[in-house]
Amino acid sequence: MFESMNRRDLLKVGAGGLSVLALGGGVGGAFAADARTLKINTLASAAAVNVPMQSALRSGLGKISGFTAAEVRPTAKIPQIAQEVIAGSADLGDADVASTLAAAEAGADLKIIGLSYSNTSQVIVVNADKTKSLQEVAKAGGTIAVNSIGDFMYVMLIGVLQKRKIDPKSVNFIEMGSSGDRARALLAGRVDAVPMHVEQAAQLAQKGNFQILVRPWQEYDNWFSAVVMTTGAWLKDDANKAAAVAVLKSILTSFRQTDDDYAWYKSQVAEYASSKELKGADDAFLKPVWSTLTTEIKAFPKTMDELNADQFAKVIPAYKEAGALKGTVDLGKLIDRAYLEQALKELG
Amino acid sequence: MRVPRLAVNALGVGLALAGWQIAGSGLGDALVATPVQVAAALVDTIRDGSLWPALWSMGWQMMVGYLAAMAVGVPLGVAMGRSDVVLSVVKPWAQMFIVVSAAAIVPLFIILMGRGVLFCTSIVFVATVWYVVATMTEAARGVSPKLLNVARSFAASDFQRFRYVILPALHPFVLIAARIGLVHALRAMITAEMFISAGFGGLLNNAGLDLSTAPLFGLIVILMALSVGATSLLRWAAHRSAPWYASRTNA
Repeated sequence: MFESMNRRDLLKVGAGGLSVLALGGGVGGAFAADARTLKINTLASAAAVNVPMQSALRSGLGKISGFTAAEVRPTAKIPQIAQEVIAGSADLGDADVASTLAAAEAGADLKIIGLSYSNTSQVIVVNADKTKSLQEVAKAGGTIAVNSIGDFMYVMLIGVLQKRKIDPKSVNFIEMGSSGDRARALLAGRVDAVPMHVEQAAQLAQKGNFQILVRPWQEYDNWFSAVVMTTGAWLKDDANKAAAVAVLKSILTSFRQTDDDYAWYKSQVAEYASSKELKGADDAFLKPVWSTLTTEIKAFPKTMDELNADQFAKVIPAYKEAGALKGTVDLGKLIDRAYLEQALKELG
Repeated sequence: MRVPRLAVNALGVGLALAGWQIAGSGLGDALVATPVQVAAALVDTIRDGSLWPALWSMGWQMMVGYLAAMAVGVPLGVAMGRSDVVLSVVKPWAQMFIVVSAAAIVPLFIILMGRGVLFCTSIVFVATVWYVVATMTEAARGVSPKLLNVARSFAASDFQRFRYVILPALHPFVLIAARIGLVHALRAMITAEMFISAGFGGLLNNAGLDLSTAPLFGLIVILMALSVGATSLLRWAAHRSAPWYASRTNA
């Protein structure tokens, strides 16, 4: 067959092939155009508290008509999440409260429309053989490693130090990447206290006399750490408004399933947690973590009632004291519950 | 008695592993996992199916940026080495950019280019091209005047001197620039991927969350093996294609 093919036949075959490819692409594109894929920036690592949100974006959202699973874009540097949303290269962000509030105060057109979880699951851990209190750390001019100076855990700690009448300047704060790195630094005795997730604190407790010194949810009503945010300009488009509602519906559904069904949560941890140790955790380890998250910390509120200006106003003084904010941010303008209310109405 | 080189190398590696094993056993796997624990973690990592796609994704994107850096850096470096005008124009920029770490420019590139192929290849390009340029500039400036004078005395034109004297003289240095560039390309790619927690950089980020250092060390071992393998391949290619230069450097 090919031996008898002349140049004209070859061109015809080529043109036919290209047409088929173009048509195929067009058909595929038409189907793809029906369902929208949102670009959502999240934290690079998914700890136990981040799993319901990850599940909502990577799996739940695709079950809502008109949407595929989100293009989840893990981000190592926390402030980068909000920066990319402001720059318009991401639709939504699972951003930290500190950088979102700071950007809004600086004039960025931002809206907080939901919670990635309520109340942080990070706690301050010390080696109890060496340190019994924050007073001891401060007296010895000790060192506390945080992810970054000015982030929500740094601010939380400054607030706790001030509540205990300890001068924050008597403590050396240093920046240290991931919570795993910080746990190892504490284990090696290089630092005196570190924030880490509750499940990591439980793991570390198996290695020695490492105890939790500060539980943010006991210090504050709600210590917000991560929120669902976007820009006001993005929310002007009707299609984007519907997308915001869909994302919140997916998150609320995931929160409710997490609260009600440990087996489901465990399956999602195996799927979406970043750490191999957490992915493979057995019930003896994971169930107490789930219990702490859902009942003690109340990390996954079924209706996100906590998302309001009054609750946020309670944490602003700590940010102001820490120098992370001037305190001029207009919370009424920044927090927009309209999409949350719509999502709650549709979910019933 | 002359001890074979391979045996000496093996002895060195064995002693290092033994020292590592002893240190790891004393400190525990949360601080320093032992080679045995790292080997076991390495097997797990290879088995779980995430390694190969990550390596492939990292490899091809890095190669695009690296080859672009070579394609631009080699001629630019040669031009800088042979032309005072080009040298005057480009050198200040080269000196400024060569000291900028990839980590410093990654956030800006993410905002400008997003997180796709363009971002990764651009970071690799920017982090690599100036090292290639610097190597080639020095190589081009170092071409022996004696050789050029001989060519001139035979009435060789500018093009003939470039084609038959300068280019052959630069050949081994292109391969040196390729080796230096490859190391920087690999480092830049890993840095870029760690920022967006994708590919191999994402695996490194995730491994860092585990309390045990074994998975992290396992990935680092893979990275070291990749780097050593690739640079050895380029060295072998250099020795094969420029044996006259290899004989000078192998002494």
